[in-house]
Amino acid sequence: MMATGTAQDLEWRPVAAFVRMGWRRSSSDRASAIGLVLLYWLVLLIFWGLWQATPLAELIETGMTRPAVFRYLVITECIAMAAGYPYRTIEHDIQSGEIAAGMLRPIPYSIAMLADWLGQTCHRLLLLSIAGAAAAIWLTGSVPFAFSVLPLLVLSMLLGCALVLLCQLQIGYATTWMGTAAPVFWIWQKALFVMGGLMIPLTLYPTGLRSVAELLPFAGMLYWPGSIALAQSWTELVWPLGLQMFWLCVLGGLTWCVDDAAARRIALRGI
Amino acid sequence: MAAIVVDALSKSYRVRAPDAHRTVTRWLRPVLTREVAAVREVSFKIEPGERVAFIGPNGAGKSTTLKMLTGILEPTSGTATVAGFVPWQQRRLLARRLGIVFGQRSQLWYHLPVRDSFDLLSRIYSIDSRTYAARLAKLSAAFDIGSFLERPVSELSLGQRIRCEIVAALLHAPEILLLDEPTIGLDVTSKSALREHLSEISRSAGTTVLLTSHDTGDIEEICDRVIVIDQGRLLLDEPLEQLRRQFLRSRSIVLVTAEEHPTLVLAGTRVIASEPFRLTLSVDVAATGVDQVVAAAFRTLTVRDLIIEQRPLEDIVKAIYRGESHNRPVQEK
Repeated sequence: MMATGTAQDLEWRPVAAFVRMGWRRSSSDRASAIGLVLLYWLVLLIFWGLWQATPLAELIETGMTRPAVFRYLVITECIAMAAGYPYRTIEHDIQSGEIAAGMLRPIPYSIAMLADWLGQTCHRLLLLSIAGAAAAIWLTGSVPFAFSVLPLLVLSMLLGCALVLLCQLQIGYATTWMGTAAPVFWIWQKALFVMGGLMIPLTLYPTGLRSVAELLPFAGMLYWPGSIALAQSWTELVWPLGLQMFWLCVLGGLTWCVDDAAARRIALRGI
Repeated sequence: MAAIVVDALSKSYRVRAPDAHRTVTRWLRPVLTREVAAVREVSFKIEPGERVAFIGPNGAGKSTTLKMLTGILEPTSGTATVAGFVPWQQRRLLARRLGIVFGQRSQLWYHLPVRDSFDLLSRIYSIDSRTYAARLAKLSAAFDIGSFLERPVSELSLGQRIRCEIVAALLHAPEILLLDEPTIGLDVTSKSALREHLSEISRSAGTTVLLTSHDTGDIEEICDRVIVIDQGRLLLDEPLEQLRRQFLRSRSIVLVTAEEHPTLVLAGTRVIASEPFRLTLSVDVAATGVDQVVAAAFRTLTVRDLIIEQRPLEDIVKAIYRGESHNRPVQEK
């Protein structure tokens, strides 16, 4: 018997259930959570040491300080590590044929996968944010953001994670054509680290490269959330959030098309 | 309206030709491919409530047909409707009306407790909480899974997992149940219990069942019609009983006698084995009735015990695969 309620309720109930399942899955895996936090702290410590060895004058030219660059890194690393590797799950499902079970449900496979990983990512994001704030207070003496921008910083970090997840979904589907997704992932990941400004803000890049990088989706995943952490006023937040929303729509639409093309290929060639 | 209608369904795959990988020049040449037909113009119709076995040797095209009926595979030609839907065009709509069990693949979430998997499925299939609770209570009692509902799927034995898979497939009360080798790898006791539960549930709910299995026990206990497919072609589509009658023109009769060297000569019979105090005959029932043989045995011998054996379904299936016609009796071993 169908549930009572509106059509929208029927659509969102399973999605919400998958998000909850993802959260529970991540929160029940304590060993991975501890390992992730330790790795995050290690990365932050290494880069903090690196900034100590960097001549301060070069940073001052761009209006940056060592604590500011460190705070930026706290945010970008947090997003990069929280998103995880959903492409591997999709790759495995396609290679093993287990995607059939997902395709035989009333909810689209990619929506279920996205919701599940969004739940996991939210849990890891919370965990790493607390760990990152603690590291920032310990090393720089303050939290890595202005409290006035906190709600929009959270939104921006979530949007950044969503963009990463959407890209990884598409990368996972590459298995349908290539038999494996790893080569695409490695190229995409390196592009994300460089063009997204994982370690240093794009403001420290050469002007030409910076102008291009700021307009690419990679910036929406890491650089713009990181730059929001450094923002002091609301006016500095409109452009980053607007760009993130734009890329969310573009990558969302692209994921839908790739999902459709992959399902079609599976239907024609079998699994 | 028929539950499943399949009309001239065909599926071909393009596969790499055998020499495609042999030399480094493969990078310079177009890859050679050839077309392999997995299913060729298969047609059948299944009415609501029917329980049909869909059998064939390995590579016959069973799974390919089943995948087309679920909508995850598109045919090269032909049409099919399942519960009124064209599967490959309306896969998600059909999913709500279909229950599927792949014996070798899981639809449960390995890391979750069984109950959480069921809870998630209840959300996916939009089952209201009261109906879900009642259905889960009924199915967990029927399949005896109550004791391990709280355990993660990864910790279950194969038999326990398969029972949970079937419950998962039945939770949304599907009209049609597709079972792909549901008893594979199970021990005799688990198989028997599972068949009994499946048969009972499908009969009481009027669920249409399409079952593929290499185990003739599954077919005998669950189904009442058999469709045989081989090399992608439909070989036979008949009620199970009719199949037995047509294919099984011979019976074995074992006579335990007071005589040390019993003999019985009768038209339409031949001796399979003769041992002290025991005679095994094969009877061609088209030539001689079993009753006539029994009467003759009682007339001429002192019969202490009598066993009439029907050849097992497995032999019939083997005979069909071998291509023996309906009108020839299955050969005795």
